[in-house]
Amino acid sequence: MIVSLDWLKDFVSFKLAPQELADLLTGAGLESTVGENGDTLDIELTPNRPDCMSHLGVAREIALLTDAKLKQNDISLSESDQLVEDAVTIIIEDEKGSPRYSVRVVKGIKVGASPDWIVQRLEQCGIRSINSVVDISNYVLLELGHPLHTFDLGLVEGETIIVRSAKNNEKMVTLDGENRKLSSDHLLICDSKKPVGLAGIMGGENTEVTEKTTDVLIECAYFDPVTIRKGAKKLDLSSEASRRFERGADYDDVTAVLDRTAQLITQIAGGEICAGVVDCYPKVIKPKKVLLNRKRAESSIGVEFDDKFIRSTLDGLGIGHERKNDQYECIIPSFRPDLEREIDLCEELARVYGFDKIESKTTYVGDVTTILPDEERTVDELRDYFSGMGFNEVMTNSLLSEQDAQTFSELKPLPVANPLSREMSVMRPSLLPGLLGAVNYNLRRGENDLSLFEYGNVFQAEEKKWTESPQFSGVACGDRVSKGWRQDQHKNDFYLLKGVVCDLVQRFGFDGSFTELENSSVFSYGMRWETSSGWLADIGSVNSEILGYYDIGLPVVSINLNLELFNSTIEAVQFSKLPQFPRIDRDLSLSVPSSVTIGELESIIQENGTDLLRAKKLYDLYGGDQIESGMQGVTFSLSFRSDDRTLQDDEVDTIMEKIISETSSQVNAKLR
Amino acid sequence: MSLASKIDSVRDTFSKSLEKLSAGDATVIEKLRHEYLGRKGKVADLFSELGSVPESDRPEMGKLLNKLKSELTREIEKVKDAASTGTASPEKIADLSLPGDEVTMGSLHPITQTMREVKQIFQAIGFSVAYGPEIDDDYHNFEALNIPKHHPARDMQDTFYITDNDVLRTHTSNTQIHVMENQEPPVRVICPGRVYRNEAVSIRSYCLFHQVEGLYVAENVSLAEMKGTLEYFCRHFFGEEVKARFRPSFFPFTEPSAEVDITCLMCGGDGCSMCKKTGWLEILGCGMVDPAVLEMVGYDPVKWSGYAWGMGIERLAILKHGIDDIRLYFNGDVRFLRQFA
Repeated sequence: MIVSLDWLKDFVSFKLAPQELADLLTGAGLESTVGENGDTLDIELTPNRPDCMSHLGVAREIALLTDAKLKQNDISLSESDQLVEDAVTIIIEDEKGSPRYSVRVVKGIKVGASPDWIVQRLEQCGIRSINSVVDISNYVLLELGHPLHTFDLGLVEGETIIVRSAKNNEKMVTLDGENRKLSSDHLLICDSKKPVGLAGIMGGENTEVTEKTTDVLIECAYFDPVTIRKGAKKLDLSSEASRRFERGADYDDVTAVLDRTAQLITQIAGGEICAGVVDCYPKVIKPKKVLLNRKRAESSIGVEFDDKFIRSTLDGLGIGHERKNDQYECIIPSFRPDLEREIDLCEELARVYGFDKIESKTTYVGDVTTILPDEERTVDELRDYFSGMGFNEVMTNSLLSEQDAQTFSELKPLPVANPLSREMSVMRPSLLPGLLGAVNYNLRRGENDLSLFEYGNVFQAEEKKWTESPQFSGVACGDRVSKGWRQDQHKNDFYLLKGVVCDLVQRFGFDGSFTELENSSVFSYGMRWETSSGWLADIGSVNSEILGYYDIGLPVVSINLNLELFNSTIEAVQFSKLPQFPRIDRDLSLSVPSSVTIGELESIIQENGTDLLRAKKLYDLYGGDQIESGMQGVTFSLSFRSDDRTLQDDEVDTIMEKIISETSSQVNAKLR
Repeated sequence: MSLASKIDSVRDTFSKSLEKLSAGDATVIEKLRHEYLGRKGKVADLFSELGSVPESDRPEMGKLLNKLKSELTREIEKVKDAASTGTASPEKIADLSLPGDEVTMGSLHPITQTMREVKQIFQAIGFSVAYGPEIDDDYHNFEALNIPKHHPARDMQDTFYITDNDVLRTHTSNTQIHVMENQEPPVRVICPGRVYRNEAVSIRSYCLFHQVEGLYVAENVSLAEMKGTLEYFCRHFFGEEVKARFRPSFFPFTEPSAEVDITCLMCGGDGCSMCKKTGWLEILGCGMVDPAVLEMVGYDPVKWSGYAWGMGIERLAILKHGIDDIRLYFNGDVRFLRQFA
C-alpha cells in the first residue's frame, strides 16, 4: 500500500520527516519505507489490518502514535427533488454474501478529465488516470479504504439491481475485457436482464462509465469476506476491491463513502444528486463487545499499564469503552474486523506502548533436561564421521523431475499436485538422483575428485498413501588423494567404501559380514553388509546406464546406510581389557593362482590361524612380470597373541606351517 | 662354512652396509636391495644352496632363510621410507621446504553448521529438540495454527499440495502441534527441519529451506520473556555488539506477533545495500502463542501461555557468511562447500 504524505495531511497534522514517520509506523507494526521521491510511504501491510488500506486508516495510526487529532472530510451535499428510490430498485437475494448493499444516483453529469490534484495523488499511489468518474471511485477507495463501484445507469436495464449468487457456468465479461466463467461461489450484481458486475471483485464491461455516461449509479456494499475470497481465488483474480473485501471492509461507513463519492462527482463532473440513499441492510450488524482485563493484559505482556494509557490508546483506536474496576468493556469499531478477543486488545496495548520499551526477562519454569532424539545423535555422529573422512556434505532438492526419479526403476515416486515445473514434480524417492546431479554439476566445472554425502528424507508412493523416511547416502569418484611427492594416489572407489563400512561396523559395534549384491538396479557390482538384525550398508559401483543418464563419464561408487540400525546402537561402549602378553608378528608370502580370491585365501588363513590369530593384513598384492603368469603374489602380515600366556615362537611356527600346508592343498598356494 | 653361519654372515654384512648408508639416497638403497634381495642376490644364492643341505636339516634352514629374507626386506623398506620422508635421523631432515602431506578433511554443509549452532544456543537454556514430518495434513500445518481455509493468511505462504488435504509443510510449526498434542505443559522445545514454499527459484528464493522454530509454554509466560530469550539468542549467534529490535507484525498463530530485526552486520545500522538502506536486517518472526492454538491442542488458555518463534537457517547463514545466492546451498558445488570446511 502506497500512501501520499500530502494526502495524509488532509486527516492528520504531523511535523515528522518522512523517515521518522516511516520508523514510527514500522515500530507500531506498519512496516514502512520512504518512497523514491520522498513524498510517499510504501507500507507492507499484514493481512489483519484492512483498516490501514487507506489514507484515513494510516492517518488514524499516526494520530494515535503522535497524540494528534484525526480530522474528517467536510461533507455537504445538495440533493435534487428526485428521490433515489424512484431512480433505482435494489433487491438482495443472497443476504449471506451481501449483508449490505447501498447506492446513490447522480444524474446529468459530464464525464471528462480529472483535475490535476486528483491525477497527481492517484499517480503518487501508482494509479493511472482514466476519466473523472473512474478516477473519483479510485480516489475514494484510496482515501477511505472502502471499495465502491460506479455503473452507467443508462445501461442498467429495468432500473433494478439484483444481488444474487451466480449459476454454475454462467458467464460475464469483466471490465478488463475477459469473459469470465463463473460458479455458484461467485456473487453477482445484475440488472433485470443480465449480470453487470462481479460483486466485490470487478465491474462488468457492459455498464462501464464512459465519456458518454450522463447518469451514474454509485454502489457501496459490505460483502462477506469468505465469499469474495473464494470467488477471487477461483478466478485467480485479485483486485484492489477484492483484497479489501476479503480482509473485511468497514460495514458501517457505507453511506459516508457514498456521500464522499457523490460530493466529488458533482464537484468535478457536475450533475445533480438524487435525494437519499437506497440502503439495503436487512440485518444490521451489531458492533462486537470485548472485555479487557488490565491484570490479564499486564501478565501476558509483562509490563504495567496505567489507566490513563489504556484509555488514551482505546480512544485513539476508535474503541468505545467503559471501565469497571480493572475491567474495560470495549466496543470494537466497524473498521477493525481483526479485534475479536481480549488478546487482540492486549496486542494493541503492547504495540502502542512499544515492543522496544518492554523490559526483557529471562525466567523459565519446568524441567531443564534437554532431550535429543536418538536419530539426531546418530546422524550427527555419521555427519562428523563422513566429513572427517573427506566427504563434503551436500543438500539437494527434495523435488525432482519424474524422469530423474524413474531412473531408479524400482522406486515409485510421490507426485506433487501443484508442481512449480516439470523439473520439480515429484518427491525424491532416493538421495541418489540428487547426489548424481551434484556430481554432474561439479564435473562440468572441472571438479573431478568428489566425495559427497547427504542426509535427508525420501518419499515413496504407496496405494493412496506414502512413506517418508530418512536416508543417509554418499557418492565418490576420482581421486581421494592425488599422487604426491611421497604419497601414492588413492582412488575414491569401491575399496574406499568397503573400508568405511568395516570401520563403521567396528565403531558402532555391529556383527555380520559382507555378501555380494545381486540383481541391483543401481549397481553394476556391489556388496551389502548384513547383520543379524538386517542389512546395514550397501556399497557399489553405479551402473553405466544411470551414469549415462546423468552424463557422468567416470566411475562413481555409492554408499547407502540403513539408519534404523544405526539408531538402535546408541549404547555405552563396553571396555575390553588391554592385552597382557606380547604379540608375535609373522609375514606370509604366497604365490597363488589368479583365479583364487583374496576372500577365499583369507578364510583359509583365519580358519587355520586358530583363535591366537588376532589380526591379518594384506600388505602386498602383485602380478605381472614379477611372477609367473596365471599366478599372483600376496603377502599378509599376521599377528598372534594369547590372552593368558606369552606365546612361544614354536607355537606360532606350527600354526604358520598349518596355514601354509592348507593353502597349498586347498588352493595350490606356494610359499615364496 | 655351514649354511647357518653363511646366513649369519650375510646378515652381518648387510647391517654394516646399512650403517654406512647416508640418508636420502634412493639409488644407493636400490643397489643394496638388488645386491641382497634381487633375483640373483645374496639371499637367493643361499636359497639355492638349500638343496645340498641334508634333508633332516632342510626345514630348519628354510625357516632361517625365510626369516632372513623378511628381516632384510623390512630393513630396506624402513630406509626407503626414511629416505623419502627425509626423517632418517632425529637430528636431520632432507629439506624443510618440502610440502606437507595432503590432508583430506571434508566439510559439513553450512546449513548443518548453522543449525547446530542454533540448536546449541537453545539447548543451553533447556530447550529439547523435536522433529516432525515434511508431509503433513492441512490440520497440522494450517487449521491447528489458527489458519482456517479461505483465510487471507493462507496467501502468506504459497503451498505445495500432495492431495487436497496433505501439504508439504510450509513451516515446522506442525511439529509444535504434534509436540503439544502429545505432551502436557510445560513445554520447551525447538523444531528444526526442512520446509517448502511454492515459489519460483531465484537468487533470493528457493522452493525449500530450513527452519528452527521454538516453543515455550508454561504458566504466566509474558512477551517480556520472549524478548529476553530471543535477545539472548541474538547476542550469542551474532555477537554482543548487535542490537535487536522487536517490531509488531501479524501471524495467525501468535498474538501479539512480532518480527525481530538486528542492526545490519555490514554497516552497523548506518544503511547500506545489504540492509536496503534501513540499517536493519529481519531475522525471525515470533509471538505469544494464540489462545486459539492452545485450545486446539487441548491446553487451557487461561492457565497456560507461551511464546513461539521461527527462523530461516538459510537466511541466518546468508547474513553470517555473506552468501549472495541462496541456490548455492543446494547445487552441491564443492567449490562452495569446501569454503565451509
